[in-house]
Amino acid sequence: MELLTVGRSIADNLKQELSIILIGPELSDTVRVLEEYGPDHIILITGEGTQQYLTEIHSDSIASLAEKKRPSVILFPATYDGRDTAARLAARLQVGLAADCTELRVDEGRFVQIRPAFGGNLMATINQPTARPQLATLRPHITKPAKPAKSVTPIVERVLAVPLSSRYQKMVLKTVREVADESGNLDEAEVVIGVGRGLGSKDKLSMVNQLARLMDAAVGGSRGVVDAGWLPHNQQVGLTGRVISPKMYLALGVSGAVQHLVGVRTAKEIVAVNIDPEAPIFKVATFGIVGDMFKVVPLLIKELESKKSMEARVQAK
Amino acid sequence: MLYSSFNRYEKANGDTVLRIVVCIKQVPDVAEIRIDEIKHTLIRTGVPSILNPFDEFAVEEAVRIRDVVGGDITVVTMGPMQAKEALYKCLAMGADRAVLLSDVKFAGADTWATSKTLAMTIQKLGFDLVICGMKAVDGETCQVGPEIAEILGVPHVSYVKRVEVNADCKSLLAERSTEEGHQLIKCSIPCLLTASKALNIPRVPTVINQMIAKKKPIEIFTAETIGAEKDEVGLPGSRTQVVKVYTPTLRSGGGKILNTDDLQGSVTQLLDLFKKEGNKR
Repeated sequence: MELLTVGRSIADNLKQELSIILIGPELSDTVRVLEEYGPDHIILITGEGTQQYLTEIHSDSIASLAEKKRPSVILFPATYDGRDTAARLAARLQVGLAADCTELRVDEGRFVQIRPAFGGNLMATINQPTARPQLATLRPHITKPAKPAKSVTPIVERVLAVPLSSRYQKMVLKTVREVADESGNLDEAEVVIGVGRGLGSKDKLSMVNQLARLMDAAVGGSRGVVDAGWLPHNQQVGLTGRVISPKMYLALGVSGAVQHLVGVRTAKEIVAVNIDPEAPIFKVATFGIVGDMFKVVPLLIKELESKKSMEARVQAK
Repeated sequence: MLYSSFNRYEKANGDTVLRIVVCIKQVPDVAEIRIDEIKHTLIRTGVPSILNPFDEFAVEEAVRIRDVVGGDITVVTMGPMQAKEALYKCLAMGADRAVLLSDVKFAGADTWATSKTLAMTIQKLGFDLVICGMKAVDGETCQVGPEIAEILGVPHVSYVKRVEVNADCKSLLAERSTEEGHQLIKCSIPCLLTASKALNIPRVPTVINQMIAKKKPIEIFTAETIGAEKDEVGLPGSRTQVVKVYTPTLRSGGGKILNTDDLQGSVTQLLDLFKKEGNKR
């Protein structure tokens, strides 16, 4: 939806049409939802090999479409799959690709991409002067999806996927969901609790998890915490971990090393609890408490639990 | 655990030797980069150069695979002469051969031109398996690996957290990270892999291995060596251009910092903030 919103804006600015491509088993519900976000065309690619994500099938199928339709811009979400497909497609079409953009817009009739580099220390404005189509991947959770003012009924087209090349074999044997029970979904959560080495040991996590449940928050950690084995790698937040954009990041016992903060640069509020008043995290925190997290967290839990039971009593009336 | 980096195993029946190529990059240590708050530029002087952390996982995995199924490892990098340091580290970790692509014609390359240059080199060297780090910590595009694979006409598996090469060296099994977990993929060889942080823990080369590595030759390749035309590589070969760079407004924080003299009070304020920003309950 975010991609459609941005795409609609770019298309309108370039005075061109907007198409959205969906690859996979037919999902008519998805089509219905997408229609409201204003694409002029919806292209459904189905067929053998589209039940699971396989990069080569996606990039080859989109390449074949691109050769027929000659779009000027193709946008992808900057997800694992989106980045893979976009990269292979860019090489296939021998065009440029601006990755992980935080902003896409049209300046004086020209499509412009803005993306971070050097761990977020630098922002770069990218142009693709001549090669067409121009490709870009957009970082998720930055744009607010918006439905266009005037409604358009899109033309729906169905196309068969290009099968995997006969020169090689590749298949997905299994798709495994690793539901990190206490971590929630780091990308989607509006509140994320981050823990650092100040936690002390793995068993202290139960207190943090309890707080996370009460706040409906996901749990992430610094590299130190992951290296110590207290949290799995997919919960690491930072330069070599995940970059997230929650509304509130509650950093408990996190010193605030640059590499870690890179992971939460765009969080709306950074709240820090740390026993060390000199901890670098206080320089970027929008609110902080200098104190022992093992005093602060139990009190937070107590307050939240009493509020919850009060609300439950009110509801029961 | 003993790292016998310099033993070369030949397969028992003497045939297929897996030719592994690892693409690496020497990058500035981005954690040490500071911003000049007056000029709004990056302060690069004095920032040490390191082997891209994700490439370490790639080299480590190459060595482990080689030690199990046999083969040889060539590390390749495109960069200035200074990039030799990164190549020496790879040799010390166990790579057999090192190639530096160094030519003024390569300068200013974007991901397309870089991928093209590396792919042409890999094609010239001959390969069965190419391993790259999933991204470089300076550019962070995650593009070069998949683009190289497409140019070489081989499949790729990205964000790999585990890989097992089949004994016949004709296919491999790999776990590819996804947002929700992973996919278990079977892929034929030749192919390309990009390494994620979860793949392994890279060995630290011993002092002796480092000394031995420094004595090994590093082959220098130019545009002519790989048969690249001037407009295929470097800035002329690029499809994207950076028209402007700026330092983003630094998060200044400037928030209220309380201490726990008034524990209850500070907790209440925290919860007020949470009520405002967090999930509405």
